[in-house]
Amino acid sequence: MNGFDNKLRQIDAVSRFIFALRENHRASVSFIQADERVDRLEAQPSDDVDAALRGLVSQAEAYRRTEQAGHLVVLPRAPVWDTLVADVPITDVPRLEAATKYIALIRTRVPGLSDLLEPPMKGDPSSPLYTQPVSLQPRGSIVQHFAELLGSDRSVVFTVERLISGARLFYFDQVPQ
Amino acid sequence: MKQQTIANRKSATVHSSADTGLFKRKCACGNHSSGHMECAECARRSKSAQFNRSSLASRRPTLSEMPPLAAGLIESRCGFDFNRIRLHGEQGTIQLQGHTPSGNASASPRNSERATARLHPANAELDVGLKVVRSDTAARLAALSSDGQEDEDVIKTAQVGDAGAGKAPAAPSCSYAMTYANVKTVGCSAGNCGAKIKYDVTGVTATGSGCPKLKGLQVTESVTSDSGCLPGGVTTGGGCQIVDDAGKVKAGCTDTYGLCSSADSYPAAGCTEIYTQKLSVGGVLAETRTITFKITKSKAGCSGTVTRT
Repeated sequence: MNGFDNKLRQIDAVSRFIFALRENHRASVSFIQADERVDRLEAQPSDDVDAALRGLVSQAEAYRRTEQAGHLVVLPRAPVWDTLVADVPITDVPRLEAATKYIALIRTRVPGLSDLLEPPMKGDPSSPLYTQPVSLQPRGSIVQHFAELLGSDRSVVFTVERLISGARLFYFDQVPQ
Repeated sequence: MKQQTIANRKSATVHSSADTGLFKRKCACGNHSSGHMECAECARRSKSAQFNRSSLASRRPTLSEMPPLAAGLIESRCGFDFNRIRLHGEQGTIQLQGHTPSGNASASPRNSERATARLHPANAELDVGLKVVRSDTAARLAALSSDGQEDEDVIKTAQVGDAGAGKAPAAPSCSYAMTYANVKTVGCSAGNCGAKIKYDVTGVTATGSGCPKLKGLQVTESVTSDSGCLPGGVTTGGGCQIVDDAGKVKAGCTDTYGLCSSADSYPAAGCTEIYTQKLSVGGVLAETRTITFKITKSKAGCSGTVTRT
């Protein structure tokens, strides 16, 4: 279902760990994939999400975890995701449109993210996943703004994943609650 | 993961009493579900099991980890959401061991089925008794078989269980067909490549002697994707209500499914992504459809087509 065997994706052990947490343990954890590939993890996903994530980041050194706007995020240690972005004019905008605008904005302003692609729409375009209005603080870090795109819906998560083409894709998902 | 689930299911055999149709959670050595007396051997095994339980707990699948069909089967039998309950089986028994809050839990009867659950707080085990009157076997088997080869074991188990219960297989009870109108394909918004398909769900026909009254039933759907072009899940529309017993669906029941993204996000050689759509009537699988998106990229640009079969 996840298309893990899909040749278009660069799935590693950390990606599998996060997707297992979401699907099997209903954990709403957003995820930004690092450039470093991790082929093996001793840590196991579990219902104790905090413990599972502690285990994950202790073994996968390229990663850290944070909580932003009430959302858990596992992301690379690379500082680019902490870059401050100011003058963000996104208030009360449908989620998909807001994400599209924001990613277009940071792609031009943050050199390290020039390969980041806007989120796709898969399925019903009128789904709340795409249409719920969200607002971003005018000034904040990229990871903070990504979390704000999720709004108050705790079932919504985002993923930034590197495609086999080399580009990075930002997309939304919904974790069954 | 899938293999592990199948292996677990194979090792878990459901025992049923031929004359009562009552499924019993067979205690390690006694009939735990009908009384609380425990023989010495049982006590010995219980101690051993408690010792092993903690080490095994982390790898027992919950219902939410099981294939949707298997989890749905259990829920449909019980009329109760056992989502937080872990299921495991060994040595010819099937056991439900749970994380229910406390005290007793009982599931509401649905059709001719009865489910009860009793929690033993001391060791956090849950006894579950299911009484099933098999009036709807054919429909269940049809639902099972629609999910493919993986479910053959479940189907065989169900058939054997019926024979063991000493009852003749039920005649096919009900099958559903959906009717649609105004099917059309539309493009994605500016700057995006892909396609959308839009159609109205107008009605449901039910065929068979065991069909329920249609009025008031919900038409629902679940959709999965093979992520053949892009990662991520598929969002689905809400359900629609059937407004009369002839199967007319409430006006305005329109579905739209799309795959839209920037041209750069698709592979250079193009791609095909397949959504599998399962439509249900009153919670019973009515039909399975396939929505296929083909994305073509060339020097001239990117385009998409969609078909639904």
